[in-house]
Amino acid sequence: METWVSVLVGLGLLAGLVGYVVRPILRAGRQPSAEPWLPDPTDTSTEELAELLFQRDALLAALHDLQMDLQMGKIGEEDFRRLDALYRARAVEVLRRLDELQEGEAEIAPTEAAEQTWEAWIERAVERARQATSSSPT
Amino acid sequence: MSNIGYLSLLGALALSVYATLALFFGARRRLPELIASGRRATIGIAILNAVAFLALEYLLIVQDFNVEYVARQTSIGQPLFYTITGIWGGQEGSLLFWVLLLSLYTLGVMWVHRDDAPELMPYVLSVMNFVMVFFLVVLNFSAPPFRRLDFVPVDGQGLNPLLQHPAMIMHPPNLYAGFVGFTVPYAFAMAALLSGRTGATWVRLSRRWTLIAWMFLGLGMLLGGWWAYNELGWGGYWAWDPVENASLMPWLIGTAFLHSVMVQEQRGMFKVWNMLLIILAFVLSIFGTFLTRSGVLDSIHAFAVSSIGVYFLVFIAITLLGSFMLLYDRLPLLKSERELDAPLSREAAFLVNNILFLGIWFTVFWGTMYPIISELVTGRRIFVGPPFFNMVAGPLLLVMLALMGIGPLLPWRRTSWTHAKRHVIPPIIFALVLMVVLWLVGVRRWIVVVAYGVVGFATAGHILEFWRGWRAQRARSGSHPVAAFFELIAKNRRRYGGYIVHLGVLLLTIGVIGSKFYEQVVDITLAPGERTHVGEYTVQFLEAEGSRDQIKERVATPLHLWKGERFLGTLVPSLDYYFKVPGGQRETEVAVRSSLFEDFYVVLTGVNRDGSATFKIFINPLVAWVWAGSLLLLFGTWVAMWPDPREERILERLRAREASRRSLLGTSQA
Repeated sequence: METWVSVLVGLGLLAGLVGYVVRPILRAGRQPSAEPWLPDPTDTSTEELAELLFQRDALLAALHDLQMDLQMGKIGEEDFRRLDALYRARAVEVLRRLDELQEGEAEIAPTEAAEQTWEAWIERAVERARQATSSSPT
Repeated sequence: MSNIGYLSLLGALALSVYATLALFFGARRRLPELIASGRRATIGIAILNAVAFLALEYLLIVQDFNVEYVARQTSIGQPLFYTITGIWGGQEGSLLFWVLLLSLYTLGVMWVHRDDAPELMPYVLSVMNFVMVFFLVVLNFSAPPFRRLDFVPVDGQGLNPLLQHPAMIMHPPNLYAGFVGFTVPYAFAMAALLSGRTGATWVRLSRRWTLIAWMFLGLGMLLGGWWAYNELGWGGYWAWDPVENASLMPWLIGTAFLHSVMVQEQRGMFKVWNMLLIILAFVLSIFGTFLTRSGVLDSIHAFAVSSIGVYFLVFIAITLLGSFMLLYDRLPLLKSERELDAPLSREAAFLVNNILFLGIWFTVFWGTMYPIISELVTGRRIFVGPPFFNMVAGPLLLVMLALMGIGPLLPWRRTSWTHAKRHVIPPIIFALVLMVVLWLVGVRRWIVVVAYGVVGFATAGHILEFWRGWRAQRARSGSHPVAAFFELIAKNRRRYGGYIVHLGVLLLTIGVIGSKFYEQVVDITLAPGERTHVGEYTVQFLEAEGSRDQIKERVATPLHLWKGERFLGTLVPSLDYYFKVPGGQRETEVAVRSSLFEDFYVVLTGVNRDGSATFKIFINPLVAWVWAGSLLLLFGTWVAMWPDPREERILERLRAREASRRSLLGTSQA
């Protein structure tokens, strides 16, 4: 008797879970899908945005590290200037591409509170460089 | 209850096959219903695994000895605590615990990244469910935990006495959490290859998961060492046992990966290399389970002998073959964005670091597998012991420590020799002074002097890094000196978290060198009331005391301990005889008096007919430093994996964009 009860409980649990699992398939087409993980192979803009934002983050970190390395005496002025210019040039390029994705402006504008932060300082510096580049005659 | 357990595991297997396929094809064919169904199946698997786990716990607690596993793992009179935790004391239960942990990780990944990277996540979950399929196949067909006996034994055999120790309650869960945890970064890597999205996203999203797995594996090894030290009674904490090596191997490769993945983030290099490392780390975590559970190698863990080895070997072969084929197919997507600029750079140091880690891993792998290799070639099983590992891995570890001291002193890309010199020379001077001082105070073993010199060099380098960073932070922020120190760490969590980990490794090394080279061992026999001197200590044996409970007989031998004139306390080493274990089993209970500089460690080896007792006494220097270093290492990992607000902002931004894309899609569909 006890065996049958436990088998029935087990089968009941399985049946309930099967119903739960197949429900989205049974309801397909009845309403628009809210599935957050729906990849769109034709739309790579989010991935491109992710890449650019991560690249920008890595460049900001690199500029931050570079500044620290200079202050800690790990690199000389000459190496610092060369690498700083290189990273900034790359950052400008990344920001330009972010602009093209119409994503750049809101993210870059530093808030008053963020003005105090080191990251904001770098962002402002890169922003100034970006503006200088875009306003220069080509 | 065992029927519910049986059905749950069968159902979980069916659902895991379904979830693997549904998520894969849902992503490939872009079928939202199938992906949603696959997610639900993943939740279903977790529910069924939890039900099976709880069912087995229930059977253990009520001691249903008709269930074979229960009869093996518990007995009447066994403390409830060990009955509950005994679920991971045997093969079937520990595999069940493994799938439960994998379910928890899978749910964790699903929840944390519920709005992240839609192009990756279905594949991530599909790969994790694929791994789940394997373990559930093993559980259902090779090591079923709910198998019933043809009869009902009057009593069970009880949990292996060696495992009845507080550290053994925590050691397996942490070790398994580490092993299982490597499934997550592996799944992200495979998802990147399957989806063709091999950029920075998978690296960023999986970094913290890798650290979690690495931390748990480290904690598991630490607890394992602590258990061995306090339970096995041979005076040490690491014996290069195959099962210890099994956990060390993925940890070593995971460490290499954590370093080299920084180069990928910073410089866009080492992309293929990182894929190879994470595949290797994952396969080694499965291989570790294989070594532990198959009984293929003799070790103190031989209680785990079973016939599941073939399943594991087939799975490892399939994983390696599939991963490498996929990697080969996607090679064009994994070209390095840049090249190494100069040998004097942090990335060059990381490259050498990776080579060394691989060298140490291969040494450990070769030594661990040598009995099997020698048997295949010569027909004779030849074991290599600790001397092999110490001789081959020891020097590599020293070079690694030296490199660990140099790496942080170098900047990314390049530096000039003049600047490098300025940073490297002070630690070298400190190391040389330290070596001279050690020699003058009587340390005459050159290997110890050199090893401490290397540790001194690396420690000085790191302390200087902290000091220079703190000075720079103060100059920049103008903060209070104490605040500036914490600001420095808070603003550079990964860098300084890593340095704290390094300092932990250095502390640990100080302890390892001290306890390895300066251990003193004496065997003594004392009559009741007799005193003797051991080094600076005096011990007095009082009298043997016998006792008996439902599972064991105990002989305890209290000893009074003095150092000089100072009374330190009473130590009670004992011998236990577990009479319910088939054939009986004798276990020692070690007594230890720890201090910062040395441990007084006593093992009772026998009580004689005349009432005297024989002891093995170890004086182990600096063992406390091993535990302290390990804890510092774990703390550093915690600092390094603390969420980075800048990264969180990026993820929030991407989530918002995805949400707006989905709402636009919903509107157009409506």
